[in-house]
Amino acid sequence: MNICLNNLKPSYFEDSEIVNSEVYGIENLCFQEGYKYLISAHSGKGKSSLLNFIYGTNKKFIGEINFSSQISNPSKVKQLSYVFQDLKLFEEITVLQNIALKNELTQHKSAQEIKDYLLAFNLWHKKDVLLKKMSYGQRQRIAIIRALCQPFNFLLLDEPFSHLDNENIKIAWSIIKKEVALNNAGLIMISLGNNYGIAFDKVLSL
Amino acid sequence: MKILKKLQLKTLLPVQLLGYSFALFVGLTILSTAFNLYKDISPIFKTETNFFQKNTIAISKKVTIFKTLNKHKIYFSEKEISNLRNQKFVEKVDFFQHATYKIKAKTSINSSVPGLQTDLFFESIPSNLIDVKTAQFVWKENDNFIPIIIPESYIKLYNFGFAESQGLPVISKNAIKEISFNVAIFGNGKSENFKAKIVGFSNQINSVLVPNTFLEWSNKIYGNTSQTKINRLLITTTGNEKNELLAFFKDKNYDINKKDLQNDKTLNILNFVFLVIFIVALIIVILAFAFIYLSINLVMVKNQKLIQNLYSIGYSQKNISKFYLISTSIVSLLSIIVALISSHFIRNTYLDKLNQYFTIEVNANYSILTALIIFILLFLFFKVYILTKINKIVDDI
Repeated sequence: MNICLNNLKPSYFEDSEIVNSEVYGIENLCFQEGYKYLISAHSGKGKSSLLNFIYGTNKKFIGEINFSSQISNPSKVKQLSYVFQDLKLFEEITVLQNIALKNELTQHKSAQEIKDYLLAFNLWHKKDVLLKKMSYGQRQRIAIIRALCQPFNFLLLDEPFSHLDNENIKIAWSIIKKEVALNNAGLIMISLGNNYGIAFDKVLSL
Repeated sequence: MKILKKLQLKTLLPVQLLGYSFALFVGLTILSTAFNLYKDISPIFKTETNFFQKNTIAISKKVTIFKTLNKHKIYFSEKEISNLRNQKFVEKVDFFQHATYKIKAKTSINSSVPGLQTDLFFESIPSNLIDVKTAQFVWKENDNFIPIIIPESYIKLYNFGFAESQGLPVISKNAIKEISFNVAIFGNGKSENFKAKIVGFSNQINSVLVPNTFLEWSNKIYGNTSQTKINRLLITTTGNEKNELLAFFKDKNYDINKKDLQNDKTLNILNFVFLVIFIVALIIVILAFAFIYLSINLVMVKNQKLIQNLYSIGYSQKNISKFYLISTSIVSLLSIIVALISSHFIRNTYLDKLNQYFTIEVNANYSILTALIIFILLFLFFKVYILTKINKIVDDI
């Protein structure tokens, strides 16, 4: 699946605000399956908005977003997984329940696979702790694991590593890379400018 | 969806749900009990009066102290009669005709009954309006026999009052019908003797009735033609507009059969009391609905973020609403069932009591059907309302 943006612009932005953008206001900008994109920008440039436009939860934009696919099965045409900037985790339940909440819906991962992820992130011993007792960095890792508990053909990441140390970023990226390859999917990551030493296929400035 | 349920369970407001279920229970119990009680006891009053079916009633003017002195006031004028005819609850107005000559009745000397002699009066009304149906109540010219219908209350008066105090034998209705007596009528200087028998007893008409044909014939020969005043009317009602009818009679100060009225008054008071109870119970039920309506709204607003997050990670609006729909429905259903059981027990208790005094026809109990309908309506309301609410919250992301 490809995601193509055509003259996309947040409706609350002036034309002058997107003059130098390599994403907003561009004709036929396509994100292709199998490629990894980094979109970097300063605050207030509409980074999260861009992913929300693509994800479908924010409709305050002008222009078009098209999803094109060669896959014949329509139910698989548009599958997006998203690590939100505000994570959207549930504080009242435990770490494991937060992940299982998603997996109950998709039945995508086995208990063992989830355990492996938590072990990899050194969080398995915290699995039964209420989420509200976890630090922000720990929550980011939990949100990443949760995002992987569904099939997708594009993974959207909104500053997923902002509170992670280098060691954890390395672990996270290796897991993400593997899952993206497994799904034969594309990836769009948003960052304030840091590429975390990762080799992206394309870097765009918003 | 185990974890979803666990998560959403924490968002419920148990005290509010409890309050709702209690109010619903109380309201429905009263409503159902009042309804059953009404259905059970109103027939007791209805069987004793058929006053407000299409019916004929006799009306007269109230006799007051002033009217005893000025007798003219007890007569109906032409204007009053035509006014009556124009009322929408009146189908037909008929008159009492009365004999305008003197009448004496005495038992035959040779009969087994003690010798009695009395002055008498005769009246007649169209025979189709008499509540006694008997083939004997006819008279043709040259017949020497006059059939007579008297009020049933007369025989009671005789048996339990007169006969008792005077040491006379009591008589049954059938026995009275066997007694033939002599009737002599006088007027215009002439007189004539007839044989007469009582052929029936009226519950509705307080008069001594003879066939119309006899009265017309005898009035012509013996009657004082100047006396054609009308003091009693027979009104055939349409059976509708009963309140207007009562109000009209009261306003005009007309007298009607008190016994019918008494029962109807009781029924009216009963209806009114039940109406008040129904309204109060209905208000409680409506308040319960208003309460759960606000409560759902509060839960949704309080958990707006949670609902939006659930939607963001892939749960559909329907998935999210399901828990709230089920929990509100279960609480409602439990309240309804408990209310049904309670009202059933209450009904059994009062039926036991009432059965000591009345024969109660036990009606089919429609409570379960009604409860089912209420539940389905509630369920549909919750379904639509909760889903609409969640859709709105999700749209606000």
